[in-house]
Amino acid sequence: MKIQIDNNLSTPLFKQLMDQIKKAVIDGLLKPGDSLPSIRQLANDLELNHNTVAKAYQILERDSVIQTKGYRGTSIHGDAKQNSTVDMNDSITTKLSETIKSLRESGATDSEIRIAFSNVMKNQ
Amino acid sequence: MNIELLLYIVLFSQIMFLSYYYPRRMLIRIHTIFKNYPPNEFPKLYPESIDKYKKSAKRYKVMNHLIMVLGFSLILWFYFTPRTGKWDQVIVFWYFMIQFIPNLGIELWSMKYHKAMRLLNQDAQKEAVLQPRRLTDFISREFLAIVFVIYVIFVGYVAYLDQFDYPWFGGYLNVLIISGTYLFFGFIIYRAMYGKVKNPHQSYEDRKIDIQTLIRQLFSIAIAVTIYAMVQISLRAFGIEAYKAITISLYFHVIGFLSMQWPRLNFINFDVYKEKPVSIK
Repeated sequence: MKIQIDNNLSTPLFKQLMDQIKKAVIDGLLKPGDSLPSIRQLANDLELNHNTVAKAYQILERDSVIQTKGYRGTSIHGDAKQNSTVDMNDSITTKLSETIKSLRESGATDSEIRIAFSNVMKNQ
Repeated sequence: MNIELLLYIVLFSQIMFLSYYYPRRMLIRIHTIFKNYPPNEFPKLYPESIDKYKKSAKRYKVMNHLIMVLGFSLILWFYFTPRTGKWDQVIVFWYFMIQFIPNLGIELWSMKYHKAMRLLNQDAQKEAVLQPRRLTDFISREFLAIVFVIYVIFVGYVAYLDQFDYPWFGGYLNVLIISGTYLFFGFIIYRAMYGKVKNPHQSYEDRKIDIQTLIRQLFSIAIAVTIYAMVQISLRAFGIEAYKAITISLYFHVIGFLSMQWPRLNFINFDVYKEKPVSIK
């Protein structure tokens, strides 16, 4: 299964990589247990920085789309198909929208919400 | 047969094989590419002017011819000079090193060529296959087992000879040298399998063939090096060192033959070197 990265697209490279792996899982091109190349191999093949591929793999592992098992390397997670349909960005956007809506209803201004959000993020 | 005569025959064969036949085949390959895949149709294949490459090919040919003349002079010198034969193998070794220079030049040229290709590559799209590359994808387990068994036999042979306390015998230093050679080959294989892409236009399938060719060559050379080391030690142990120069020359024949296993041109996808058609919107 081939993967293609386009440097001219505005989508970040790690996101292009993640999206294509998820799409391949959804389309059935990658099945649970299928091995994936190492970070080094994929980064060198795509002429990318190793950190870019590492970031994509890290997020996919967090979302249980892939799993890393020591010397056995990286493979597709058993629940990958189900987990590939979940978009963390959508979930964050929905939750934040609900919170902002409720804060507005309680009388907070947008500027207060922004400052509070920024402070909370800094303190985390 | 007279050892001296045998040495002349083997050395003549080494000269013809490594300074005539090998470069001839290499040049035929290069000129076939120039002819069948010209710059106007395959511009990506020529990051620099084709004349520059033709000059390099000519230089390679001239260098090999000069080395061939040197080789014939060496045979004549061997014939007319009374010698003890003690230094013959050293001379044959250094002559091979000289024969190797034009091929080293080709290697360096190839590195420069791929670098120029990468610098000119404007393609924003990069492609990779989502499949890990493993050693056994390129070489059979049986071949790996043969290399391992030969290495074990070599270690056993060194251990066996070590008990006789030959004053000339390097003992386990031989194992260290052979192990170092294996490690060096391992490093080259690792870089070919997982390292950076040398040719940015090459198709994945062709890259796999290149990696496979290299791995098979290096594993075969590893076997040849180990057997050669055992032969050299045996010749000394049995007191027939007079054959050392002949065996070293035969060994260089094998190395030359193994290095000549290039992928066939008609199996290579040259379409990747064509200019992409401009889309009209």
